[in-house]
Amino acid sequence: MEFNNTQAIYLQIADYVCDQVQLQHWPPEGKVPSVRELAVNLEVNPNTIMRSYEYLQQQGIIYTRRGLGYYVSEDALRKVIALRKEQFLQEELPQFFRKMFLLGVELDELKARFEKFKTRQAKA
Amino acid sequence: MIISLQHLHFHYRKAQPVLENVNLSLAPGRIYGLLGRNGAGKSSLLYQLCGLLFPTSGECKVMGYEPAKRLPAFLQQVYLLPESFHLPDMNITQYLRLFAPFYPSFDHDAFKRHLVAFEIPREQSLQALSHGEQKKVLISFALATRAKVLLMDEPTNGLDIPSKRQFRKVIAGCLEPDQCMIISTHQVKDLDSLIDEVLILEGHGILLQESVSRITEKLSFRQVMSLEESEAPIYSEGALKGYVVVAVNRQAEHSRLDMEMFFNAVMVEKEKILSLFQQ
Amino acid sequence: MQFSFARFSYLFKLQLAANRKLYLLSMAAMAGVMLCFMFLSVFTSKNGFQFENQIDFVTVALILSGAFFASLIFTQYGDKDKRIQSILLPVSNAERLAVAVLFVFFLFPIVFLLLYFICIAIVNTVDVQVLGNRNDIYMLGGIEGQYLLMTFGLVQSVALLGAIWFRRFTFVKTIVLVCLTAIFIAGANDVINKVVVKDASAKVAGYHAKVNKLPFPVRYEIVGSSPYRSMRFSGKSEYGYYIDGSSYWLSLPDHQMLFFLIFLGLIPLFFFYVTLAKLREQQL
Repeated sequence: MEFNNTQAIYLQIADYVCDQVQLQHWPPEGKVPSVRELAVNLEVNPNTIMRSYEYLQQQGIIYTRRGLGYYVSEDALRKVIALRKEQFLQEELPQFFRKMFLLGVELDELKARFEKFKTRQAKA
Repeated sequence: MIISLQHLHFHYRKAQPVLENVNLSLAPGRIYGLLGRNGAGKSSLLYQLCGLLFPTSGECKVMGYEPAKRLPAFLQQVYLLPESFHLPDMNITQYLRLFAPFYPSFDHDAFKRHLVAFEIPREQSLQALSHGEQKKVLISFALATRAKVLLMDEPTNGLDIPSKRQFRKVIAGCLEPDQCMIISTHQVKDLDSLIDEVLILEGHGILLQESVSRITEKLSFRQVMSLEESEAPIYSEGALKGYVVVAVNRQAEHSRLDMEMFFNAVMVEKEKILSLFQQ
Repeated sequence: MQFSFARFSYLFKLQLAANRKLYLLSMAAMAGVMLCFMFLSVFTSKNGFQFENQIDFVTVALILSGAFFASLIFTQYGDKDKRIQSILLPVSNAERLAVAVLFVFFLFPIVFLLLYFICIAIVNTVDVQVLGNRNDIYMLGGIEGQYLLMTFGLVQSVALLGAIWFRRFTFVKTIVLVCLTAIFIAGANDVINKVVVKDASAKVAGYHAKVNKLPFPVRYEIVGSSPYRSMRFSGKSEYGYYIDGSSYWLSLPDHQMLFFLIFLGLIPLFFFYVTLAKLREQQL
């Protein structure tokens, strides 16, 4: 995994875990790789992985079983989507709107394009 | 605290102090990155911690021992990986047979694993290996001793790009909760994902000791198109597309610490940054 | 002081393994040089390699090569990289010293003498069987043997200290140190002789004159005196020739001699102690 230079590494790792959940590579109630395993895979200090896991636990995406390690929550998928939607609305949308405003693009213009995009996605 | 230095002074000649009034407390379970300019005394500090140099005055305690006494029980638990080294004329198996018994908690399986990770053939004569490969053998040995204090002086010097990656993997999988690693380096980019806490050595003493999370809490690291975009920049460097900026973190952003930028910023804007951390 | 037999044996094995090629080569070289010298002696001197020459040869060769070997026993401290690694090896200084002493005082002379006896056996066979000379093999017996071992012990203990005291040109500096010590001992011996003789020669002269009822005065002088040994006097007439039956030995009484020997034996221990202190204070 390549880290980008802008976001804190622990958040990028949390994002990576969310990806795995969303893509259903890690099913609900499935075991999450141990801190050490993920540290080796991502070449990152294990304490940083710990921080990511703690953050994800706070978000209710993973939980710990005493002595066994971390597991994906039952409703992790829903929570990931909710979390990402929140992120999108808070962080990405304002920038998107700013560009629309600068370029004078109206919402109606986008609507048709978005419908087209959705049908293409459904086919694929 | 596994390492504690108090008012430590060290000089070779009276007129040329190397370390002056160094105070330092380091905890187990963490990886410390020791940064500093050439000749700032990074190696001297590491040598103090393992008893290779004796303090001129002040106190140095490592795992409760006084390093200068160099008791075998102490030396069994501390390993220094020097920047340059010499390996005897023999193969890896012989080296292991002769040197491993000195370290009672030596982990032979771990040594094998590390060699595999570094892609070093075991039956090779040490003299036939390249310098980088020799270094990887010594790193594997150092980690397999399970030393509680592991001091590494420029460990990635002389390693090629894939080896640096292997190095990060091996270190990430090794750190134990009762172990303390100190990595001194110029090549911050190689190692910044491994480091928990930054130590900056400047003017013969520790200028700054802060965890990565506290640094990013106080400062944000950004790339911007023009300097006006960024609020309260403390330090900036021109980049291909705009600027890389170190700024006061007012919006509780979670940016990634750019260790090289941070080091440069501290060198140039000492007071501003230090006052930020003193709050 | 910490000492563990296990660590001592690890260090011993390490020293042997790390230097095995050097040691084997040196043994071959040593045997070669000895054979060369001995055969040279056999073929160039009239009566072959004689007993007395053997004594001189083995004395000089053992002491010189021994000092050379001893002065290099801590050679790993001379090079910065090796120095870091050997100082940080988890062994105590007592263990380091013990390994060095084992090599310098026991293994080296054993190996040396083994090689020496093999060489001398070969050379002597040629000397006696082929050339027909009548030469015995010197087996380190007699006062010369004791003297040799004693000197060997003293020189080796000085060389051991030199090995850790000096970082560079260890052998040369050590040899200078040994020579200075030897000159000092010889000088001291001379001074002591003069003091002793002033008193003793007059007494001996008086005694001799009384016993032999000589009609002329006898002047006594020292004919044999080397450090640690009894002194020999002989009487000279006023015309300067020696008088038969006038030789006397001046020796310490047995109990005093014992003290002296104990004192002599303590000298290497003193050097060991300084070596240990030097090992302890090694820094980068």
